[in-house]
Amino acid sequence: MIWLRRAKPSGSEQKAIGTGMTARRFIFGIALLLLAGLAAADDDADTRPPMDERRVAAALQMPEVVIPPPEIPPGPVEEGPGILERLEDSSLAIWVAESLWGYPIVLGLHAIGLAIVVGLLIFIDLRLLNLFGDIRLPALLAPMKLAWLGFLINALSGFALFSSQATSIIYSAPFLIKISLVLLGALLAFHIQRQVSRNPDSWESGAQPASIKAAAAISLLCWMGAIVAGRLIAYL
Amino acid sequence: MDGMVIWILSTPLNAWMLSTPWAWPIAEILHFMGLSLLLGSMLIIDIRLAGHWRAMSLNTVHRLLPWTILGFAINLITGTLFFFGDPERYVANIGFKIKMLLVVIAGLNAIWFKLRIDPDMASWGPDQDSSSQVKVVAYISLVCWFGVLLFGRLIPYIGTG
Repeated sequence: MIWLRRAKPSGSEQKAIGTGMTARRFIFGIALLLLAGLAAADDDADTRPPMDERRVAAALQMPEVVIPPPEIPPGPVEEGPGILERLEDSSLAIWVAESLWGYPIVLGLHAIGLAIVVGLLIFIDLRLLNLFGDIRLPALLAPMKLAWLGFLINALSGFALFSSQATSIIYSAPFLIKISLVLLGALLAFHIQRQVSRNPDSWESGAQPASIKAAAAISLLCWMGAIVAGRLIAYL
Repeated sequence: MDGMVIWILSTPLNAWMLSTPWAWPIAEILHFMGLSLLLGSMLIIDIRLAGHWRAMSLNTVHRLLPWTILGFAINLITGTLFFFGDPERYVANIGFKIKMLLVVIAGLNAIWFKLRIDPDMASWGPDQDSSSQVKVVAYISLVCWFGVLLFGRLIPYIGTG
């Protein structure tokens, strides 16, 4: 029995994220190597002693090597390692991607953080939409603090996960949508927390302004959307 | 176990999970939403039962419990879909077995709460601290459910048989 399977890229988790991009780069890299090799061979030809006749004849019969014109990849790829490349080569990224426990530990933390931040914010938002009228609004501030701990866990674990595949996942549409929704959700949580702590008692019995209810409703949509997009990263 | 796997592999539900292109990811998304409802409400309930967050009235516990059950129901259904979709993988998986064991312990703990603690709660003051027995039940619940979450997430990575 394999107690622990090789960590990162497994089945549905790691569907072909950005394979198109990788393939293009691969072809481009091969083409560059070929060009460089040919250039070096030409230089050497001037200084090398003449080859014996048979080898010259064989060389002359070789079909001409056709080099495909290098495709220009989108974005700044040929300016040395960019920040994402360097991130992906960092020891954190390599630990996540290649160590036995790195990826499972970080992924487990990300699930725990998700349950804390989204789980608590669902009920904070529902309370602001008057679903649990007998919870006093100031009582929401303690769960809100814990929700920020969940957010911190997921910011850190999410950064570690991102680092391990930075150059490819940055092109993933679900990833970009998820990050946008998470940032918007965090802004709304901050706004809600500030408003509630400024008006500890005046909003009792459902008197909170429509703007705070709208913020709560949008916040719910953001976090549900972030879950949808986050899960789809593995599939699209 | 083998008989059950063979039976599951012959069911239309197995065929449906395998042949419907978006069935698996959609069930996964619902499973994540269900876990948020389950764990989020459990977190508030257990922390309150453990005697913290006493600005929140004890009645909160009873207002949130239906949401816990909703989250559990969503995850029981979607979880059954996964199991029927790929039974061989789950029966061989140690992460899955530990997860199910923790669900059972959490369930027994919840039954204990329902039978022994819940009937007394009406007599508690709204912001009363809990007895140590109640605190133990609350912490067992928290540890079990977060364990369920952790081992569930690690199913693809540990003890894959």
